[in-house]
Amino acid sequence: MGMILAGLSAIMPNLDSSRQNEFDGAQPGLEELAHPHAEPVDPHIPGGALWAMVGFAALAFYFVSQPALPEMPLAATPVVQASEIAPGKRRDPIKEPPRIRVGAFTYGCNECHSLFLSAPERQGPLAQHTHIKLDHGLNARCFNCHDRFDREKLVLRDGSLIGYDQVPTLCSQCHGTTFRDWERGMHGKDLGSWDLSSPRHVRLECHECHDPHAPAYPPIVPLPAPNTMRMGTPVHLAHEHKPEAGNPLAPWWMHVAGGDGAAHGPGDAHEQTTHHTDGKTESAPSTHKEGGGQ
Amino acid sequence: MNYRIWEGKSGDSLNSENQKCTSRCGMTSSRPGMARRSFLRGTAAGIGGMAAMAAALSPLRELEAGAFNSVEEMLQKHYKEMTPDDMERALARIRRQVEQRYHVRPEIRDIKPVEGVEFAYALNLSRCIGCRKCVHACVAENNQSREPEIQYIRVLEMPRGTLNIEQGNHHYDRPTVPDDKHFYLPVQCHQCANPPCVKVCPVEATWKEPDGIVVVDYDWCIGCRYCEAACPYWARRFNFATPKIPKGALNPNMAYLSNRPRPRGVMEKCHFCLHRTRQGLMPACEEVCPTGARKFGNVLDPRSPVSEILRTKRVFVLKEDAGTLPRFFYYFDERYPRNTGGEAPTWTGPEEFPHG
Repeated sequence: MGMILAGLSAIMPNLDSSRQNEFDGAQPGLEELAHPHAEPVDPHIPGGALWAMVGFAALAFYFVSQPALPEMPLAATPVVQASEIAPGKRRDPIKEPPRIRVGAFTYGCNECHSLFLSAPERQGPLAQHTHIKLDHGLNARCFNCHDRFDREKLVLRDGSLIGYDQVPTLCSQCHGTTFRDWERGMHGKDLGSWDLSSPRHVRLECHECHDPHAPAYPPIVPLPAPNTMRMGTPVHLAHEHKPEAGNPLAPWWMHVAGGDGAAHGPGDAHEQTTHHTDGKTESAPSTHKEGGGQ
Repeated sequence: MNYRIWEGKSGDSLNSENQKCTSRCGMTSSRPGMARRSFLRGTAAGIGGMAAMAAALSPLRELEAGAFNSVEEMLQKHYKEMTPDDMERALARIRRQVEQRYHVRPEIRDIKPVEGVEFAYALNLSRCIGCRKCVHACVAENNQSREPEIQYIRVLEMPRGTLNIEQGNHHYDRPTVPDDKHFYLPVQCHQCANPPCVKVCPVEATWKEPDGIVVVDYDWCIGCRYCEAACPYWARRFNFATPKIPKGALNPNMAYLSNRPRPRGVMEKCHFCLHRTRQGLMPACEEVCPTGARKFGNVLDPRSPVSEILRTKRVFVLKEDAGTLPRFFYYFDERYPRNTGGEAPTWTGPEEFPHG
């Protein structure tokens, strides 16, 4: 505070001296009272300096009344449920052949399938096991993997039978390179620990991620996009045809111009398709890439 | 006219004295009193000064209770100079502060790097589907601010056929991912072996640990943001405001150098979840990845998945010409793209298999 006052008083004598001759009827001032024998100084406070001080005080009041940080347009932070980011395996496959429960009794596969001989396999909708969606590329045959005569076993290409707990061996017959990568940890998913020697380390098997009958990984719903402006304009603002709307970092004319083309960046060639809830699809101008690729 | 504020006698006498004074240019008067203009000038200067002082101090109004550092926090030494007793005191203070603010008793430790372990990350771009689970698992694990939003990982949706990051889009919003015409490029701190962010730090608040992780001491950071400017991958984030974490969302499993709550005005970044990985666990982003695109491990172990990938896959790093020597590698599978949006192949051979 002392420094500010000293600065003010350093300015004011200059202002005073510039207009000293205009005021003849001067009155004794503070300096004179303090130093009676000092050189006389014009005690007038010129109108300009007074107004400057009033203006300064008004400005100071304005700054104090304003919040210290500008109001940033923050979109509501989306809430991500803990279940959506819970680690774990995608599927919980059977390790044993299934048991069918009919009334009070449970039956294994062979208890029915040994009674009648299977018809030659045909392509087409299944009469039984209709919950199975068979979408395994070229491999659209039951008996490529299931044994025709022992339904509780899986069959390899050489005719030998394996149990339901040796699925990777079965898959590796066709997917050799993937099996090679999986063995070395390059394909597939591990859980628990990055350290292979740790007892917590778990390596998931083929059918713990892939459905054996429809192995392609299905599309899933993505979690919310980021809100920050530094990654370009968020989608909820790009919808409004104003790429810079609400962006405090944008120059002022962007706000004035709105979305009339002046605000469009150079990256319009790569268009981004935005989806509306009413089903209308439109092509919005590309978001700005400043900072996006740093 | 009476210009005096301080009046000793009647107005008449003052008037006459004034005239006398004027007539002989009375600048040598020694009577006590104060001219009105002088008073105004002094008052205005005082008001102006006080207003300026208030304006200068107004940012202090933003400080919350407890925002001032405690004395022991001010006197705390640099991380590398702390004795075990110093660290125990610092951890006790952090425990107290976290409990006061979040009403959760944290399990905070100072976890040192493991001998013979050097971490590396590999990411299979053929497998990443852009679901952003890693982004939000990281936020939950590492106690990042939810508002304003701070995320260590950003996922770029890239048009197929290019690796030009300028064409990536962070804000893709699709009903389902992946999209057939794009691939997805997650970017986070690459934990460079030649980190430009460490070089520019004026106070050595960030450094490279023996296991390759570049860490930040949030108590030592002065918030100059040089490191943010130096990073070619935009991997560092600045706490412009005091981080807001919803009630009950605080992860109490903390380490001094990783996910303890940050104050306002410091930098933070991905640290490969060192409070997990130095104890053998996976980083949160790898653990949650639904497709297994992320691979993390000890690059000094020749049998580890990352070593196998570096040996057998055609890996690349981002902005290799920057000379940063990242520990974060990307690769594609041999058969890429697997899915071009066409129909799945169908069997057109004979109706029946020979032995089926």
